[in-house]
Amino acid sequence: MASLDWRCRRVDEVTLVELAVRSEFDQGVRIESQLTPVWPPRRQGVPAAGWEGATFEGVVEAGTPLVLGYASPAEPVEPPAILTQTGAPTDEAVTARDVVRALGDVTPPRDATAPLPPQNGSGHTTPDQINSTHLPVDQVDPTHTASDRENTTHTASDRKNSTHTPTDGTGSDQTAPDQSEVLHHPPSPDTRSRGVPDAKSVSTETDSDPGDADSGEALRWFEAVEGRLASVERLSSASDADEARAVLEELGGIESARSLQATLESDRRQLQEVRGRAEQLHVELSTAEVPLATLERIV
Amino acid sequence: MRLAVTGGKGGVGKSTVAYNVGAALDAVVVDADLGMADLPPRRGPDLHDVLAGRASPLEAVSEEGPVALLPCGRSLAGVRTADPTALVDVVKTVERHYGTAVIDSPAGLRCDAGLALFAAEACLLVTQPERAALADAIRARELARAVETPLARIVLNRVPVCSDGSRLDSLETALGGPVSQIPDSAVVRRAQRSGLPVRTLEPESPAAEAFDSLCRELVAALAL
Repeated sequence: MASLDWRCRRVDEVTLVELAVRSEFDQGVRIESQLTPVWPPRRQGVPAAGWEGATFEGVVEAGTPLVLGYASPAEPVEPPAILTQTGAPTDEAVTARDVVRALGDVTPPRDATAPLPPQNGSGHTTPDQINSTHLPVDQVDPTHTASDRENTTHTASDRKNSTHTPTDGTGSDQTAPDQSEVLHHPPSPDTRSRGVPDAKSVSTETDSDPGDADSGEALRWFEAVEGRLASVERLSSASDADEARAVLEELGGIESARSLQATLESDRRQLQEVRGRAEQLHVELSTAEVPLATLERIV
Repeated sequence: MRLAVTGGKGGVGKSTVAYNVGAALDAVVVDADLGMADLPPRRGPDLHDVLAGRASPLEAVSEEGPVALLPCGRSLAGVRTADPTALVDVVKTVERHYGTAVIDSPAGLRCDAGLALFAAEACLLVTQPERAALADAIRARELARAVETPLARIVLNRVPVCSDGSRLDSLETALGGPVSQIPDSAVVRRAQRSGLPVRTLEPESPAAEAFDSLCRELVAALAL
């Protein structure tokens, strides 16, 4: 018969749970946390062996307590977890997470990717904004990340030059070299517009003809995409090799054409993001209304 | 069948072997080198997108080139969003739909190399006739044993024309599997530059015949 002891501590709005499972004989146990979500201990970036969501499964050996610790933002409850016995221990099959735990995570450090762009001067950061650092490098506003992108680009460029040539001669490497001249990304839909503006920034934005600067930047990007499409059309419509060579020469050579292809791929992704964001905004705008009647009563 | 092409050391020809074996077996080649992909990029979603849940495995498979390919993204940010453990299910999905998936594994012995092996039912161990490559091949062989992925064949790549093959027995003994040899050939390099399988570029070349022979042996060994 297995028994469960526990202790909960509340630290900085986080509940730390300590569990000890004891048994007189070896047996498998399942422990379900009553506090959710569970923040389990992690090894190499993945939850420690046995954790799956809010449930831990493992083996408690006779005479040796099985000790577990985890955290949760939820308030403490009594008991914090429920113990279920699952019978005699069995040999567990190796899982993909076991492989990561044993061999080590290969995720590049956050510093290796693009940093957060400034957020509308509000100084606030939302989880969405934090996630925005996970965007592909080419989806982050290049004006904020030029040096970092340059560093990343060198790596990709070296690799590309030394190890492979694209099948069709039109590489779509997202971090292809020489994109700085042709890339004119709009502000990423995920990295802007999601700030939590404070009262001051709301006031500033409403005072200063909202959207003018933003729409100007977006329009410039649309025009840049149209310009790139025009270049593609010229390259595609060349009727013979001499004409194609002339157009190619004018546009900066085959490397520029490769960069152009990479940029178009980036444009396509960027447009998908913009379209999704625009649709979402359209839905929100259709129901948005400033409660003027109420506001006028209280001022 | 899910077949991983591994080798430990970088630059021994894993991607070349994966691409040519994929062509011969009419398989989908999955470029699982999350950080330093070598196989040609294609349009559309890539493995980073799939491992991050932004695309399904099948919509990321590109059939537009000479070999069906699930390409890998190139950005470090893409690697950060990817869940490497999802590779196992991705490869199984590709296998269910296309029959055979050939996984081009990354170099090294970290989890990305381990997961590529873990996702496979058998592996090809690529090495070259030089000391550093052979030492890494032994480590990769141990990794395959640790994740219980059987070794289908050893591929000794870029074998000099003058080689007499006298040390193949000791290689087979050290690595515990049968050896196939791919000759060092300008045709292979030319095919690689063109993004084509060797059999497409020069089907009568010794290298193309070596790849065909390797695949015949694979088909027999794995009952494909």
